[in-house]
Amino acid sequence: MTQPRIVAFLVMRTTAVVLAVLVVGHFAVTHLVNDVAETGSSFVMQRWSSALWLAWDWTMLAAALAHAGAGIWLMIDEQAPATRPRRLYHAALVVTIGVLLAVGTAALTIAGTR
Amino acid sequence: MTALAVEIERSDSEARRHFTVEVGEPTMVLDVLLALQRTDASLAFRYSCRVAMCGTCTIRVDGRPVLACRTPVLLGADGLLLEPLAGLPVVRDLIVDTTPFSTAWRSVEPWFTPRADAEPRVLAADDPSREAIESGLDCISCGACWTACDLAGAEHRFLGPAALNRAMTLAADARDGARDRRLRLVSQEGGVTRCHYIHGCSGACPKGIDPAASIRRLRRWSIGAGR
Amino acid sequence: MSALQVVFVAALTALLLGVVLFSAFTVRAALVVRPTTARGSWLVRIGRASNRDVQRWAFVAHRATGVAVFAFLLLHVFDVALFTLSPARFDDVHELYGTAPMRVFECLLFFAILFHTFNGLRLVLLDVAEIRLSTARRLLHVAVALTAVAGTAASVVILKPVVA
Repeated sequence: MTQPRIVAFLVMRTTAVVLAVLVVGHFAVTHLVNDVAETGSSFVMQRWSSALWLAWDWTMLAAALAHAGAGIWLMIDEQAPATRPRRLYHAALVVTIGVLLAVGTAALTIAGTR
Repeated sequence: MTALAVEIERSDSEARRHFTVEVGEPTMVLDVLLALQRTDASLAFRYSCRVAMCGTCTIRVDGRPVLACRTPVLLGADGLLLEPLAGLPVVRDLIVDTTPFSTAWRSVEPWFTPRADAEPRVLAADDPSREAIESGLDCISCGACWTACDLAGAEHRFLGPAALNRAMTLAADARDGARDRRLRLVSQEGGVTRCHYIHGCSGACPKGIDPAASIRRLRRWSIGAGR
Repeated sequence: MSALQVVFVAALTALLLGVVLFSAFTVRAALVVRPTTARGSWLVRIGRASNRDVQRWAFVAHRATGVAVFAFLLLHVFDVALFTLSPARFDDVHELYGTAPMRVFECLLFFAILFHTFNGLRLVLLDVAEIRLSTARRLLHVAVALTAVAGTAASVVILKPVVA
């Protein structure tokens, strides 16, 4: 059994490597390969008709949220005293990450099943 | 001999801060302090061995934590600023209360616990683990790394580079009977996951230890280390 | 501007302001407790910071860029999710991405992403291999150089349509 903080550290590093490819790739596709003005709804519709891009986007979202969640959790640990406000910040972080994951997953599911 | 302007951070705001001292080459910062104490007997600082063995005289010189006894004064510099170590409560002038540092040190159980089977009894002279152990053992717990670290100090609850380097030194030893327990201790909040590669410690250590590398090694060992 | 566009711009401005404040807070925190050079105002002290402290500033920049990219993600998830509600509304907001000020923002965002990526990969490398202090510093120089080159090249591509 690995300690939870070490697990968080491993999540941080694993998602980092995944994101280095997915995020830079995403930005390159939407800003460099295509001009950003041409990435309107028709572009999105075309892209999300492919399961590969749906998988890319969802993996990117989940990895980014895990990565940011672990990072901000640590930042709260470092900056806030170990009292009630800290637990409140942690709770707010979990809720924010949860909402983003839910909204993103819902959007991709609806787009994928349409 | 050259005149050198010295500014000292005093705990009493009324006390004299600015001094001028005649220095020749070579002069150590500690020599300057001893000379100034003859001018102002109320000036408080700590020292003991004078040869970088005891880790008592650590202060900040121009912002950097160093051993006063081994830091030469640069002639021609536009002055010297001497301050107490950061991240520790000031007792008086250049003397700090090292309790937070010692508490962190103690919390990693910094003593050798032999294995129940007492095997191996000795590490051979050419044992590869000796490299990490012997460099780690050079620590004189002077506190320079604590001051140089952005995360150490009561406000961030980080054990700090010295304590973790000590834990690494013991855990690297095949004869350590408390390895798993130690790795669990440093995997808690305030342990190895608090290091963010600022490398302040490695740059400041007067004994040339690389505590940041020690922490990373310890973290690698912590992967899979029991509950 | 449509109401949705106003909401988007307002949210982006608020997030940007938050990121700037957070960055200033992080920089000050790094200076107040652990000054790199003891004298002068905090701006002077940043200016005097030497190569010895370069990894401290990498840490500060890594935090700031991480928070900045997350702040954008906070908004981006919602503006993309608009697509499933109505492609027309999505296009309405998306039009903004092509405007000149937004393109400048996108360039800055890409610089942040690139620095966070290259520096982050450096940190992963430090974890995996035994790397000495001097090598770690040199790797950081490489990361910064890569960020500068790739970021500038990308900025040329992104800004070209509005400059021409």
